[in-house]
Amino acid sequence: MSVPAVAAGRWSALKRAAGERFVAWARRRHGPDQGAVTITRGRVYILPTYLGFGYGAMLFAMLIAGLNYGNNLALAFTFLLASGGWVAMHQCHRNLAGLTIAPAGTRAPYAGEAAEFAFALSAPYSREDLVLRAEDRRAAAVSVPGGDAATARVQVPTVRRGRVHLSRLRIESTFPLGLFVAWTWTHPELDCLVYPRPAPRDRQGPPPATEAGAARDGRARGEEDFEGLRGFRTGDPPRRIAWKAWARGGELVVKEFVGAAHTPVIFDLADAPGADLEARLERLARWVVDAEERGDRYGLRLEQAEVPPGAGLTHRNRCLAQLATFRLPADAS
Amino acid sequence: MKLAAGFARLLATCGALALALLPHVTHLPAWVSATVIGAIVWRLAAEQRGWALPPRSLPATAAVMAALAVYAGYRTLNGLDAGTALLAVMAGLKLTETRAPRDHAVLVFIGYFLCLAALLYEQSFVRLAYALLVAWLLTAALARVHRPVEANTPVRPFRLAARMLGFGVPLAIVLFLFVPRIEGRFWAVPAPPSRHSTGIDDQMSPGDIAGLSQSDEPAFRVWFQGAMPAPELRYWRMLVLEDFDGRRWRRATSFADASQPDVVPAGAPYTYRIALEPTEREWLPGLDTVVDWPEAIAARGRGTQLVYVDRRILERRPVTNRLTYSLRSYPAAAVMPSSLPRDLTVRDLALPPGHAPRARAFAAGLRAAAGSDRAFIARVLGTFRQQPFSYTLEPAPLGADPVDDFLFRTREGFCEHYASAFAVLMRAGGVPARVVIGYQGGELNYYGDYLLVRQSSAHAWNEVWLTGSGWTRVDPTAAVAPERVRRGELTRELAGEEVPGRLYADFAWLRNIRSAWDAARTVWDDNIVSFDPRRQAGLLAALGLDAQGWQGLAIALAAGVMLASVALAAWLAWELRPRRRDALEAAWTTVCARLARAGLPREAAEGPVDFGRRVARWDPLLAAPVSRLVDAYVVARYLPGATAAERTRFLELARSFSRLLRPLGT
Repeated sequence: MSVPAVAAGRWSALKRAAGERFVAWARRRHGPDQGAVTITRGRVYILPTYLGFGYGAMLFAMLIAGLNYGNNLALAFTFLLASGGWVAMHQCHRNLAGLTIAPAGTRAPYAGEAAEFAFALSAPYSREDLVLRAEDRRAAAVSVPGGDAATARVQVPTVRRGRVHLSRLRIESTFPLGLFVAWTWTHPELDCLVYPRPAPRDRQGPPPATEAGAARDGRARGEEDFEGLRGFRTGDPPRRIAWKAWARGGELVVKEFVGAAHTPVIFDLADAPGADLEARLERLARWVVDAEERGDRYGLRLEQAEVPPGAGLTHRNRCLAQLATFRLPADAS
Repeated sequence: MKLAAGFARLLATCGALALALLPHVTHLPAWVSATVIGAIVWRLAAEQRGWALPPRSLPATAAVMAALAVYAGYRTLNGLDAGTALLAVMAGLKLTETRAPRDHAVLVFIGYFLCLAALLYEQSFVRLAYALLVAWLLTAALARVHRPVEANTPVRPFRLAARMLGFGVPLAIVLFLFVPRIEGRFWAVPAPPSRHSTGIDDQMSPGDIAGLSQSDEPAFRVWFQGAMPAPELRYWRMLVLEDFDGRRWRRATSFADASQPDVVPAGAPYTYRIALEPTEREWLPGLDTVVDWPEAIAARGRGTQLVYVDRRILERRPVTNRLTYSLRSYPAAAVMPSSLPRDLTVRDLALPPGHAPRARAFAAGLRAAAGSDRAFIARVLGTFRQQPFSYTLEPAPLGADPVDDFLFRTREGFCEHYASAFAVLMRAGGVPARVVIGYQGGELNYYGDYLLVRQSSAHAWNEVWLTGSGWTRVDPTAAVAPERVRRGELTRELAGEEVPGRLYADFAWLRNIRSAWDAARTVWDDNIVSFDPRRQAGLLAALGLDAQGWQGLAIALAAGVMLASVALAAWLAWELRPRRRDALEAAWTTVCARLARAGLPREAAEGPVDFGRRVARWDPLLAAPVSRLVDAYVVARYLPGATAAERTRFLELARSFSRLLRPLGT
């Protein structure tokens, strides 16, 4: 490695270390954050961007030229541009100060996909071009109308099932010209579940229904005979929605069928093939997802823990959550 | 047609850049302008058609070539002309590789520099207004590039830029008033060649002043304390030329005797202030005969000095910016009436050997016939008057011996021909004589109460030394064309030729407009363009601050910046004040107010759905529209994640519902 490369490496390491210390210092200053956080002026940091430094250098050159030629109009022009930059700096700072940011839920991914943390941004006056960053992931810029709220979603990459933790969120803005960047950190300390990635489909399929879950309820919903329509409830599979009725301008309704009663299936960890625990959990995840898509009733048994049979997205997510957190290794969070 | 975002950005940047380049097109080499225009057209087409841009290395190579080409053209890269050309070429080349926001930013910065350069070339009000307009467009282009595509409506960047610059104005004024100015230059830069053409040079050959008198540019303006001198006294001396080589008159190169000349003031003095336009030369005009400058102005130490041998007024450095100075003159003063130093006698009688034999013989004859020097002068002037001498801006070319040729063959010419020939005749007749160049005349501006002297008033005349009265002014041109002196400028009209600018002379109202414009320009020049350390000190004194040291400026600057900051904070607080009532609520309130006027007020605790049902019962005709309206309101207001389209739908429904109510209510 050449000497400059070593120097550059040391320099970037030094910069990173200084950045970390600054973040730690800011965190001590801000105190713990819980729920909705309003960003006070004291929490907003602002620096020129590279473009801003370029703008400053340009203004300096203009000032020298104006003084050298003793040209008052050139000086006036330079001063106006400088004042414009100064106004932009204030606008940039104001764009962040007074913003309220609150966690607005998470969307759990399958391992390997990105977890999504949603935040509700609200402010008494309008804000523009706010960018949320988590661990070098940049969310799309959002604008907040005055007296209103907007939602920003920031994504965090995941590797394995379990939980992904968001300890630090950076909110920044280069509004209006990109000459300055104002930013702050919040420490929302949020968790998002990461479901096991469903194993690839194979020919074997899940084991047949077991007796343990065979208690039939009186009106088990099947798929053979159309019985009627009822209002949509969260968790109803999309394929049962009466799309035609909806397209005619009606409400969202779901077709109900009466048919050969299904025997609820209980997926047991013991039945799942696989090399290790992770592979078996992934197999179970595949069964759960497929069963839900088919509209079956299913349950889950993981050693002592058991999810009684049911159907619907809520039920599916409950099962997947069990799979995500089952015997989590200590370092997986 | 909706433009693609990339194309819209490029169009904004290119348009602003082209406008920034526009003031320079007249003085840039044609290939530079062509390069930039070509690059703009090519880049826009490439964006539209999706052509591939050249690799990054290609423009870099081209940039080096272009810099060399500019260097070859100007022989330097320093200075305004070469710098502007270089900037323009770089903008063109940068454009061909413009992809990222950073590239746009570079172009915008170049645009700012081109605006600045335009102001360095010309400090007029119109120029400043234009530069500010272009700066606004450039800033808008920058805003457009640096914001997310979906955040930009077509107008939004322009509004952002206008706010940014508009609210910068108070601070800019503070900086303008209180940032210290420096005298002189950090480094020498070649003066723009455009300026060399105006102003009087320190030598004179046939055609020089005739060329100058074509120019309508103002040379200087004069404010008098009290009365103005009569038109025939308005001789503005600049330089005295004493060395003659047969064709060309030059300044004397050595002053053997630099002692103070013997000036005897006589008659009424005139005290006045002159504001001189930049000349890039050291010498200044003054009303003949300048005796001194008022003490107040001398104390200012502007560096102006009278050079006494030939009574020139000199500035230490070439006048590169508008210069204001005050003088006192006695038109009737006598200069060196008692005796002429010996070396001056020799110099002012010298003629190039073998030159103008006919003129010498003619002068000797006249001098012998006349009894005295004064009678000799009268006879020479009489010759000019009686012989068919004529005045023209385009005289026939003169041969090898210009003086003889002019006196005995062509007999047509301009003030410099007459002054030159007259001085030769005087010296041949034994009378010390020299040529004086400067301006003669000046038009009164009623609006500003000053005399405006244009370049077209440039003039050459003579001074002869007479025993008893000393150096005496003689204007041979007056003998040929008395109108020249009375009107203060030699126009083509006077010379009996075609007059392209005749309109100005013929229509009084046009002259008036021109005067008013010049008066406005003078106020601008006086207060803005020539704002200098002296005026800064005056301003500080008026504010009650120490005007001498740096402390006064520092206090004023700090206080001004603070005031501007407070003003900005107040504006931001006002502009970004909390708006509790959003558009939805406002529209709903309007609908309720309409219903209340129609006789159905909403109860305090009544929600929109209940109120809607009551309205439907109250007037069945309204049942359908009101249920649509209430549904839309509930969706737009309370449904999480309501889209902009749903909000708009409600606002439209509210408007049409209000219209529906109008006939009902009245």
